[in-house]
Amino acid sequence: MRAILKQAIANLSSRKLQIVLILIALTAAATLLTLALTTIHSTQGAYQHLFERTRGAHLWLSLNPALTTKEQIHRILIDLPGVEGTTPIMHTISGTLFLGETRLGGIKLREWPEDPMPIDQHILMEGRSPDPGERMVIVLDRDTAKAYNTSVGDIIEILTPSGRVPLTVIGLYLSSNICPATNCWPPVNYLYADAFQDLVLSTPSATPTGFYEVGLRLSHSEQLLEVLDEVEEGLSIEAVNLWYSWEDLQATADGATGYMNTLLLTFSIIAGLAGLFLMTNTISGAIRGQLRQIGLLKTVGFTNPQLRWIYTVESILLSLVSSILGLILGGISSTLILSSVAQIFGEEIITPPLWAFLVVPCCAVVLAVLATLLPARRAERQSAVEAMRFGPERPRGRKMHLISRSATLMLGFSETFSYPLRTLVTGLVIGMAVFTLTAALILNHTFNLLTSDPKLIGYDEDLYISRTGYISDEEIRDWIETQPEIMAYYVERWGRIRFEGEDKVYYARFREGNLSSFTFPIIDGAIFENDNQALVGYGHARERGIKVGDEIVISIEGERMTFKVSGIYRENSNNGRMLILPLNAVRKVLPDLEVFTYNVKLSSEANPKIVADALTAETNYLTEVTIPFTGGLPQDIQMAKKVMLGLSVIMSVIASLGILSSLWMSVQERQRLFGMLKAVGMTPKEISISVVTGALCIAMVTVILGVPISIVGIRILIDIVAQSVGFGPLQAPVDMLSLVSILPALALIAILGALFPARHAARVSVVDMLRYE
Amino acid sequence: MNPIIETKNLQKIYRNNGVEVKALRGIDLSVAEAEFLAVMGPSGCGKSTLLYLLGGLDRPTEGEVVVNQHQIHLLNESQRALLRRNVIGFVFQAYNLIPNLTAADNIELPALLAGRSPKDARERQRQLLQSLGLQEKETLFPAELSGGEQQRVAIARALVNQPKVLLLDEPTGNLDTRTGARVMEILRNFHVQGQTIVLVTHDPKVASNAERVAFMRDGIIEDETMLTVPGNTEPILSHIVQLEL
Repeated sequence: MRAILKQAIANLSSRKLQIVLILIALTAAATLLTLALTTIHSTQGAYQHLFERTRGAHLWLSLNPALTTKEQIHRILIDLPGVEGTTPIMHTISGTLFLGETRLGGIKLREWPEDPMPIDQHILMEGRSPDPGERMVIVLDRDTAKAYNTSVGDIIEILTPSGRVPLTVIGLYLSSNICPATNCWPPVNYLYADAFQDLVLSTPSATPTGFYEVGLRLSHSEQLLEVLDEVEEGLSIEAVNLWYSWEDLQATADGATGYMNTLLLTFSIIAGLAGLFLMTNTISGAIRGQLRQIGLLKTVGFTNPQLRWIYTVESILLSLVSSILGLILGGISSTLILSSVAQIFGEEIITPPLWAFLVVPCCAVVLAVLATLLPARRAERQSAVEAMRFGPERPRGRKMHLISRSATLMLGFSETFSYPLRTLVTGLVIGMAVFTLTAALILNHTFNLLTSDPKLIGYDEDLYISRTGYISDEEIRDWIETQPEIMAYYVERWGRIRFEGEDKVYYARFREGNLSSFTFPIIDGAIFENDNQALVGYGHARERGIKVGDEIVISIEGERMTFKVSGIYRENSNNGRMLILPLNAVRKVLPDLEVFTYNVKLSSEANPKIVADALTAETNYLTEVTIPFTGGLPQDIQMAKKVMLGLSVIMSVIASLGILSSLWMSVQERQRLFGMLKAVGMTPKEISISVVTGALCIAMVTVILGVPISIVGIRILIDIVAQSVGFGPLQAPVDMLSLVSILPALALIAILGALFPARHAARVSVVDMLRYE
Repeated sequence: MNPIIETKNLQKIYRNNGVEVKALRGIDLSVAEAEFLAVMGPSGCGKSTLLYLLGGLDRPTEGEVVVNQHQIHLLNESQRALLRRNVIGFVFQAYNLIPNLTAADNIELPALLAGRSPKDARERQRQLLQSLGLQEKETLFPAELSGGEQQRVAIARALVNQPKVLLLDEPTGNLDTRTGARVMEILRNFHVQGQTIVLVTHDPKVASNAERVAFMRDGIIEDETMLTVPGNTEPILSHIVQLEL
């Protein structure tokens, strides 16, 4: 074993440049893998950690103060089986936040609990909590503060029906009730109890304003529906305005970074493959250059398994060093790249999980062993006599004839085909970059197309209006119906349904209005025409084999209802597992169901901003009006684009290293050839060109073959992902013009990779070459 | 007759790990156009170094080399390569054919590099292969040819651009006597047609094909002799004995 190790180390030290290249490629792969594992860990493990750390609530109830009292709620909850603990019953109201004259947005306000909460504890991220008796102060939800760019010490104003109230921000908090995505706003913010009471009392309303919210921590989270049934039975169904589970929060947390997992994992596999090919190529080249030495080793008594071990040990050493470097770099980059993720979960820093320190080296060692298999076998088969007689192996494969005036270029082409295996492996390394670049361009084009035409993903609305409890449904509808710019609108309310015979609860959209005026992304069928029809999200349709014309039986609040499927549509939420039901039909079960959301379509001449401003002013800022896609691309997509750009750069560097490594070996082996060429009158520049031509040849062939293959592969992948998330079949659009840009990009990568070897080849001394004849 | 090759005080010092090796110590040499010069000497006397300097493969440490009115010692590497391409033909002991090109392509390569059309290059290649008796070998790769055949292809490659000067470094060193003789016969034929040839060898029989023989020892030319009868080794041998080479 010592002899093997000694020989392996001697081999490594004799090929420094190749070793550095392998280390860089494998380190890149190990870094990506570490980053991917850390991302997975941070999204899944970190939320669990936060949930346990704060004793998060499994079930949140929003209760109607007009239909129940705090005492009644308390009475029901106190002896409820399966409930481990509850938060205080918290009075919650809606408000609008101002900073100076700038209207920031809507928020939910609660009174700050006097005693520490046993459930859903708050982590004070910055500042302090209110002192007893302290007035006109507020503790802001950390995400609200971040989004509105406010910090401790700022004076903000809360607008209520009775006017603006100035409050000083004294602290920022975090709880398991996180909301990293803007679509789950308005978040909850806390006021000191006295100030809260002032706001509630000042509301000109006969009935209590707002709603009561309470969080329940369960002994067994899977008993959530049973507990909910008990509450609804004790208080009445109508009293429970809304409920959501910890799984919804977990899904929100996962959703914030879920796509990162997929992207990083995919590309760490691709980078790993590139590293594998690079290592195979280098070891293979090393063996080819060491055939004489292998013959010698056999002569002095090395057996075939021992020879195999020399190269395997070499690879394992390299992979272990790379994995250590990858873990360090991955750890550092994860703290930088995932700092936003860390903040979401209130962690100071996100570090790779302990198990990554086992997984990454194991993956690297497996790659190393795989990379060594083929070349080591070749070393084993090498006859000692042949090796000693011929030295380095002669080029294999048929050669190209000099058919053109450009002998320099033809020599470059010729060399490419002289080592078919090496060319193939180098091509595969470059192919990984081609795949990544193609994926980046297709995804970029798809994102741009979908966001430039939101109708394609189901956004046909010009304005979303949300009302607060201070304004009635009638008032908003009256306003909408009298506006000449508004062509059509529909109202929407989310609710929960169960399929007959199933326990699992799903969300559904209940809609009514001028639905036929909107272009919904219906894949098959049409919008419902009567109250007995329903639209089914692609996720449900796919999983349950539901087709247009089928009947579905569901239950809403325990009431059995049957709908005929009028269409299957693309659904962006909940993995496509949703329904769109006529609100009228739902009202048969829930007659008092209120709606708070109004989706509006404007005339083509109307300016959405003017209409939005008019409505907010008219309603004294007590409505939230959102114009879709005004903030540019959604954050998720922007982040995905950045990730794709980063991965493209990494893969391009690896491809360049692949070319460098391959050409370097080739140049080393062809020193004699370059000497010969110089002797017959080839200039150093022509030699450089011939080397670069070889690299360009491999790169261009890879692009020509790789781009179409990548297009097909990526479109299949996107289609599979789109279907699996319930969005439905998606033929990703391909912008051939942008894909053409891969050609010069790869040419540049090839030239960069070839520069150093070409320079080296050009400097070969003819005399030195002849001297060692 | 004007010299086509002229060297003045040509010196070459190699430095290896701080040790200086004086390969050439001041060579003054003149080769007339259409002359056939053989340079003889023991191993390590500097004859190959002289040939490399004449061919512009290396630069002198001191002194001048003029080939066909080009001051080689003043040219950069690319200019020297262009000169080799157009003015000088090289033949090496180990043939140095390009292994992944066929015999025909090996010969055509310098012609194409020199800017000849593929058609012209092919015609010239066929002409040369025919004159060297290799017309049926043009599609074969170097590994498929015998040593003598490879050397003949190397000669054809050296002559494809009709160089003013043909430089040969031990052209028969790797060949058996009979094949070596055949190669020398070919060279003599080209010389008869007006080709200037400078040949480096340690074999008196090979050198006897030349018109003039220069004897080298320790980096200098110690003596010269003119040969009047081709193939007559006697004057050469007597010089060798006299000079104790």
